Amino acid sequence: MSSADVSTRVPPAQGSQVAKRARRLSGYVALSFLAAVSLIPFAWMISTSFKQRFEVFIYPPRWIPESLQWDNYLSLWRDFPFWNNWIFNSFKITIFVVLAQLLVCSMSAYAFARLRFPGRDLIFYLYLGSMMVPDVVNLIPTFVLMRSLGLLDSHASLIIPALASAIGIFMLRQFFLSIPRELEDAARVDGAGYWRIYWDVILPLSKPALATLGVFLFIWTWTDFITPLIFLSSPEKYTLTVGQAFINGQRSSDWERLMAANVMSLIPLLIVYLAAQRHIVQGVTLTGLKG
Amino acid sequence: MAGTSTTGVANEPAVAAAAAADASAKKPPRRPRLNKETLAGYLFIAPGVIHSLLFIVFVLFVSAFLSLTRWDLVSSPEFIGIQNYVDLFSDELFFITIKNTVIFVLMFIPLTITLSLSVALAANTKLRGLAFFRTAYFFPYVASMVAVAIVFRWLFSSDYGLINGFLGWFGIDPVNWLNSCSTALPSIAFVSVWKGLGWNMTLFLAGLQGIPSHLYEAAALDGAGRWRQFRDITWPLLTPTTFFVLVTSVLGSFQVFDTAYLMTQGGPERCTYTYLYYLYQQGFRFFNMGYAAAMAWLLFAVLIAVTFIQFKFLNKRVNYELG
Repeated sequence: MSSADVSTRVPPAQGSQVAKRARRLSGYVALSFLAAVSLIPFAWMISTSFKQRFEVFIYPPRWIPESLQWDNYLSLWRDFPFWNNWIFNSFKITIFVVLAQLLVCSMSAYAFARLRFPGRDLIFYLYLGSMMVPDVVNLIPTFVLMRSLGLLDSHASLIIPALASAIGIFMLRQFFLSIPRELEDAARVDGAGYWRIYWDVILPLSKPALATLGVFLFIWTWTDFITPLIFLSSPEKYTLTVGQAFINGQRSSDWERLMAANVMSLIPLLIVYLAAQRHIVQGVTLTGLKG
Repeated sequence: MAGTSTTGVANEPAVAAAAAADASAKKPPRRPRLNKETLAGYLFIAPGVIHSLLFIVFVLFVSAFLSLTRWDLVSSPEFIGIQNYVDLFSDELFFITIKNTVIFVLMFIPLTITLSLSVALAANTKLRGLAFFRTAYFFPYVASMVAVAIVFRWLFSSDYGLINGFLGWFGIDPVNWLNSCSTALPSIAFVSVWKGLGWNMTLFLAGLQGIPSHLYEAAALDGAGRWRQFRDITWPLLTPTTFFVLVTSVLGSFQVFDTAYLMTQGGPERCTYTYLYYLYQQGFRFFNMGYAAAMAWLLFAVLIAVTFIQFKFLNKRVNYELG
């Protein structure tokens, strides 16, 4: 609004210049402010994770630790099954889920996008409808089901229910529909069957979509909290998020170690995110994924 | 698609394949591989369908059935009809958690929409380095809520927290953020807003950049000021984005759990006792599985109703304002 005021007072050409500059400046101010708000908590987390105990409680707050206390990280390993169990468990479950879902969802998506068979659209709409059901509705019966299968407190109880998802099928189908059919026709002329076309034509052409879905599945599985919290009971089987909650409950003011655990839990997410951020922004805007 | 309409109900591969063969027999034999294609189709979707029959369909039935029983996981479930639902409406805690959750949603939604839209508007010029900023904003979204909740428990800490330290510069006395009823729930709402801000802002930015610039040029020629341009061009044309942000934010915010669990354990004095936290306690602390299942179904019903209302209300607005 201030830029509009300016333009009424000065000659038009110059006025639009000033207005443009004012807008650009206000843009940068807003962006920088939000960037600071977004990043300061993480900076403070990293700073705290390297502090000595007395330094944590110094007032006014100190940003740069006197010396780097790597022991905050190492002691997580001494006092908790942090590295060998929790981090390992999270990786194991996440990788299983990501790979299995990419396979299962892409197979279904291929059929929904390319093959004609009776009931196809009905089944697909049922999948779409199922995305409306909040996870919490399925949480209790899935718990009961896993319990009756004797799988509670095992990683299988987290992996098996997550082997496929409606959102994964939906996302990949949308992408497959955008692939030109001519590319498959060439393979069909060569006598390729459906599996060959799916495996040798569709999948290689869909790397961006598979990467996007893979990254999202990684983030969702890695950060999932309520399911492992409910399904797992022995500390050595915990995933990282439940382990963090465990430390948070046991040593609620060991801030330097809580922050060290946080840093460790975020590094894999940061790597995956930075490696694929272009895909994420695109994939999100294209498919309207929610998180 | 003739085959689909005649056999829309047939899910059994054998039946469907036979029917499809039937349909193809009546038509000129243009697609001799229809049988094969149908079979391939069912085989390709089989793993996903088997999985979802178990973990979506079957599980939904179990959940609905459980909500009509009393069950503590030890004895066998006892069918009690709609008694759980009746009991809920005389459960004082149930209403407390509904109140808290609704207050949370009412704080979270307007803040999220206005903040992320304002920043998107400010950023919607051709600025260099936008990619860097976007990376920064996305990070809270990518981080786990568990880590975020623990960091903010530290930031909000009353004695040594960074936020009170910052306020101290301005001579403001330390606030007991998470331990006082008037500030605990707003603090938790703030964490959720903070976490989703960059994400929602990016969605708004994408929406803004989809608005053709010649509309603004034409409006400027007609002498429309910034506010008029926002009201008559930006806001109406942005409605699909606003709608998407609104619907997903509402769905997510009704299910707030992690922060309540990790930052306040529902306290102080149940001021942050949210609906999902109570459901968790009923189901997995007190093992009232039937009661918790009934709570889940009620939440589901409310979410469907709320989403439906938004669809009806906002779709009308789009038509009116674009027309």
